[in-house]
Amino acid sequence: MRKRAAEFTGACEEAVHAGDRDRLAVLVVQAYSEGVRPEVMRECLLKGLEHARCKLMTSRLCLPEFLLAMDVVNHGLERITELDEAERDDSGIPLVIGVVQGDPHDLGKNIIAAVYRAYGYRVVDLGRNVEQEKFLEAVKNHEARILALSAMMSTTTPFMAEIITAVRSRGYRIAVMAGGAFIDAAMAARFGADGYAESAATVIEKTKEAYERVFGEKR
Amino acid sequence: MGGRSSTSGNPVAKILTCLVHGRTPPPGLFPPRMLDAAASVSHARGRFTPLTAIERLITTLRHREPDIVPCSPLVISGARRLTGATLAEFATNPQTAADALMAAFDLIGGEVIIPMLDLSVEAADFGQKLVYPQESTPHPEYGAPLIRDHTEYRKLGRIEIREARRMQSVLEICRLLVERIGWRGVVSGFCFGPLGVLCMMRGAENLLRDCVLYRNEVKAAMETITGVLTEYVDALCGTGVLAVTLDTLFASYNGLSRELWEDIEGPFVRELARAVHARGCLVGVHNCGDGIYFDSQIRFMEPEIISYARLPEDCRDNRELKRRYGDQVVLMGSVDTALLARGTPHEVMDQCRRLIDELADGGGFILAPGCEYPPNIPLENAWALVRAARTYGRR
Repeated sequence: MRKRAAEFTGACEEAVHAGDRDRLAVLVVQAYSEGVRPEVMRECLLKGLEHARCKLMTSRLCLPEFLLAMDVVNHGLERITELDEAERDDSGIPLVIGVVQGDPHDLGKNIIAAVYRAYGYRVVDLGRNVEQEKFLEAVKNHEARILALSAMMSTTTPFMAEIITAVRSRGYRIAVMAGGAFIDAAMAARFGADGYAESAATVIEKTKEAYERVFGEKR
Repeated sequence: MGGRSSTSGNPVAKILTCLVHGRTPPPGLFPPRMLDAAASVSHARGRFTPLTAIERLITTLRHREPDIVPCSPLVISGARRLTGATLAEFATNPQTAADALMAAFDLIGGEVIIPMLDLSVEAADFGQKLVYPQESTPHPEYGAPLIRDHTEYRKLGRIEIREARRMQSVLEICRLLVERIGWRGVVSGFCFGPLGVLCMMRGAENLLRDCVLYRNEVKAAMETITGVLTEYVDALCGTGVLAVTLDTLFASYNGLSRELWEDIEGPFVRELARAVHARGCLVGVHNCGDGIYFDSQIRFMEPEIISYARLPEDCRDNRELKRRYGDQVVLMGSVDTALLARGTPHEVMDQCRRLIDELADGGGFILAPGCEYPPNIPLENAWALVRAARTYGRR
């Protein structure tokens, strides 16, 4: 079975790299019928995504190819869940993500949300142009442990600071991540965020670091 | 601007017409040797007396050192703060925008104005619905993209420039600015590249996927858009601007791979650049992406100026950038816009000084932010940028 899982991993990586979601769907069904366990398949898919993410990080892959790779992985994960409802994994860290008020640019946020999802976080995506109250409600209702804020415009970036202040003033214990075209690590820190990620390539490491700082435990 | 001389018609007559109307003639109308001679004279004269803004720029463009490093704080929609207009008024009323831009030019200084209203100008005229927030930048109504799926790329229709309301507004702003600025500075028109325009009508995420999955459909729409933009840049040149800046955001790691960009947008922006050069105007390229493809863009557009925010993919630092590309194009940039927003004037001046040290030797450098000066922040750091050019950029 281990040999079969290894074969599945190799084939998955190829399908992810080629952006071929149909091929991946066939592979998932095939592997499932041969008895490969869903959690093993999920790990294999994430390895494929990790491979694509490393390439993005070292500029050997561009955004369109990465988007397609991510689509394939998410499609594969959905197929695995459909095949085995009992194996549905709800143990991920609850995470609320959204683009701040006044800002309609959600490309970056969508990518980051998909990466989080693929890496097992329980993502609550509030979309774009989200008012402060909605963030606060979502954090409370979903008992979120991570809040990821995005702003792509200089005109909307100040709302990020206001949201972070509001979250802190309500006493929520939460790791806040900030990102967007206009901000950098220094600005994120000034706003009171616990972490800043420049891109999808680094967001998982940076989130883990921030999470560890806030909760004192590794994920 | 090496040895290019592709203008049509009688250049002498065109030069005379410009002079009679009190406008600076486009540099491409002059033989390169004449420009070199003028730059040499200005270079020498600049040691003793202040040059005019035009002299300063021509000297820089010919890669000689002027008296001081030319600059542009790129205060565009932020300029409305000086006249009390809202961003929505700035974006929709040409007179309001021109008043604000001239106020910024008069009060803050610099040598170059680029009246870029927002990145949705061209898309709006193709029929994309826009949202005009009072105090934020206009943008497409993202829930209602004009191109809803890949089958609609081929359905995109041509539009007439004379009926294009927003593009006509920009043309009017350029006319007003050219008239008011006279010999005191240079106005550059601005045109979003065809892929950027398409992005505003389809949404970035979808467009990026479509560039891989439906390349030919995307290219069909690019052809339609480029046809219109070619007329638009020609009309921009007709307003008396000396340059047209083309925004090619997708020629970077934030957009497409180099191969994809060269196939999908390269040939189309080449047409736009040729149309600008044919009028004797300069081609500027603006790209505030990460890891931009300098060499590809130079090959396709032969620009005189590249305005950038971040280093190109093949350079580790500014000195390498200067070594590699400094003799091919004028480098314009790259003060960090985040620093302009959060830094002190002292910190801004410090960064400007470093940039001048690294890039200004031998001319060919314009100090400017890497992108538009953030619209909703105080203007003190714009003054700091201009002051740095006057202080540290003095020969």
